[in-house]
Amino acid sequence: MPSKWTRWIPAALVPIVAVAGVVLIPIAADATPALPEKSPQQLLEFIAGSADAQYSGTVEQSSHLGLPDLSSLGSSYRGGAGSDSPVSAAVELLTGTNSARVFVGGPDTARIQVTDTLAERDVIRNGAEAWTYDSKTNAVQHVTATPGTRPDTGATRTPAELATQFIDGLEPSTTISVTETARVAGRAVYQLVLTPDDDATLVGSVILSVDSETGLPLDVRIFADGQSDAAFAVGFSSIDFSAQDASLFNFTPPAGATVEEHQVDGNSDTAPDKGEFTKPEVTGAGWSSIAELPAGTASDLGDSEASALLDQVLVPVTGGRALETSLVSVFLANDGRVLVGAVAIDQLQAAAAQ
Amino acid sequence: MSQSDTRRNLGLALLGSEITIVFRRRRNQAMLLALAAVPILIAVAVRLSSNTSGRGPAFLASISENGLFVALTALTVSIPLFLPLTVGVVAGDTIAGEANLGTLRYLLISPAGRLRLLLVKYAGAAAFCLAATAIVVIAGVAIGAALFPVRPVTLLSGDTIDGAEYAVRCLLLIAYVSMSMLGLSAIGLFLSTLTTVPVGAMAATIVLSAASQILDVLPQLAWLHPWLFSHYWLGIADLLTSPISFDSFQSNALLQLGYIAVFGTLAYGRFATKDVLS
Repeated sequence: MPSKWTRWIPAALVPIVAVAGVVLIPIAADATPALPEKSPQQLLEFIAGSADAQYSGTVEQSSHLGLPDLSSLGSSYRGGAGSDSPVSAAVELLTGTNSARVFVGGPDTARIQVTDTLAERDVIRNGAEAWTYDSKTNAVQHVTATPGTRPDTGATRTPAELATQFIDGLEPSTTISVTETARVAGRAVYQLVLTPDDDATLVGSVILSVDSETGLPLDVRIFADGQSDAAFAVGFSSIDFSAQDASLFNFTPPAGATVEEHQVDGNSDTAPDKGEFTKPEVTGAGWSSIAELPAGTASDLGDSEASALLDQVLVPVTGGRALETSLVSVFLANDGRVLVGAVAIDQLQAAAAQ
Repeated sequence: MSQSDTRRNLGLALLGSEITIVFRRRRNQAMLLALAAVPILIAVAVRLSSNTSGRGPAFLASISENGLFVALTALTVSIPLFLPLTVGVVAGDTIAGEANLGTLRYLLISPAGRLRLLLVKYAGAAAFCLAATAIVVIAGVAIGAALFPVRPVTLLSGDTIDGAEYAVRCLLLIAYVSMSMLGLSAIGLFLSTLTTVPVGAMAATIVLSAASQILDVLPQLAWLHPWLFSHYWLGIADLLTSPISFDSFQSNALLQLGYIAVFGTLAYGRFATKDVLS
């Protein structure tokens, strides 16, 4: 009979094996795969050529903006009635982590499923038709676009033209470079880095990861100045490049759902129910642009839940109240104007004073 | 017949008798009945009330439209509390219960061996997990069909499925939820080897399940969440969407397997070295 302590060996080994497995398996994958070199121009052409790819995958989005976690305020009881105000939707996006399943069956068919605990919101696009479905409220919105005569600007251009246009638009204020390769969702990627030349902006750099086989952007990370963790990141945690079943994009509203119909004129640029929306006035250029919304915008945000949320995050400053995150600042002037920009608050205050 | 064959046959006989004991025990039968009462209470309450405000557990609002949602509501209500409670009682009782009754030493006299006895005890607890989950779903489907109209079921993604597909999804839900309880059962088994007071092991198991769920909602401990055995308990949403996703199923299986391995070997270490005095 073996001595007693040997009976404890399995109990000691199992955790070691489990931890080793969890730690070592990701390390075993080559972190910087060897890929043929590409210039930024070539990489952008590569991206533009990926527009008709078919794939499905899981997208994770996370924000580390230095905001307090307001998720408990923003959404009511999980699985119960949802809160639909735009402010709580924004809070959900800006704090914490979200995940969605994405199915893309070509340039004009797609389905996005934003998953919560025991709830889901779907957006389905199939050609000129689009549907949204919310499982909490059992509500459907159906948008039909009348066939428009508006020239489809994107489709007639070659990838090379698009890439050149993109670079020309960014070049004056931005350094574009290609850095070392990496892995995203288990795939080898190129990394395109956009670094603002402008010192005034809070944005440190933007890194776009591009799949090395298909040219599809898999991951975007925005870094704040002087931070090593991405302030805002959205990217695939898993992806599968196989053809998608067409039935996925044919949506029939379930029995008992409330259906709201919307018509969008294919010729006009304006969305149907955004009639009273005022275009912001933009001052400054490039990365340190400041958008200014006229007086009254702040009070339009309205409902009590929204103002409770705003009170949580806003701090009083000279001339109004402000919200400063690591990436974006918002300044609510006392006269009701709202200024937003990827700059520090004092610059928003200065812009408001002008 | 070789000695190992004898031992194996003895193990199988032991397994049969263990499962019979688990399901014959009055207390366990009462717990299964209580679990069956969860969907019945929900269905009757919804049937009697006309208040259809949107608040409450997931799927509650859909019940009056479609009776098949009773099973889903009952399952989401049972997962955080009632299932871990009953599973904790059964798993905590496994070894400590025998020790308390003074029957453990008689079980050990049989040549089946301590490892086999431990496996048999765990299998009995696992069978109870399966039965407990199944009874919630089956009672829910039955009472829902009896009290409410039955229609094609709308999934979380807004797609509609027919009866056959609904049955498949129900079976997957039973598999998923009973698998979710296996990690907790392994913890209960280990705690049960530590004491001769079954109530202590039961209470400790149930407290751990509550503690794990509390830790799982603290955002400051986000790094710990994927390691908590209760982390994927409410991942059943993945099985209620279209196209069906097995991501949670896979992660959950791996996690529960880890807990079974860690606490199973700990239970073996303890039980195989323990001086059994009662």
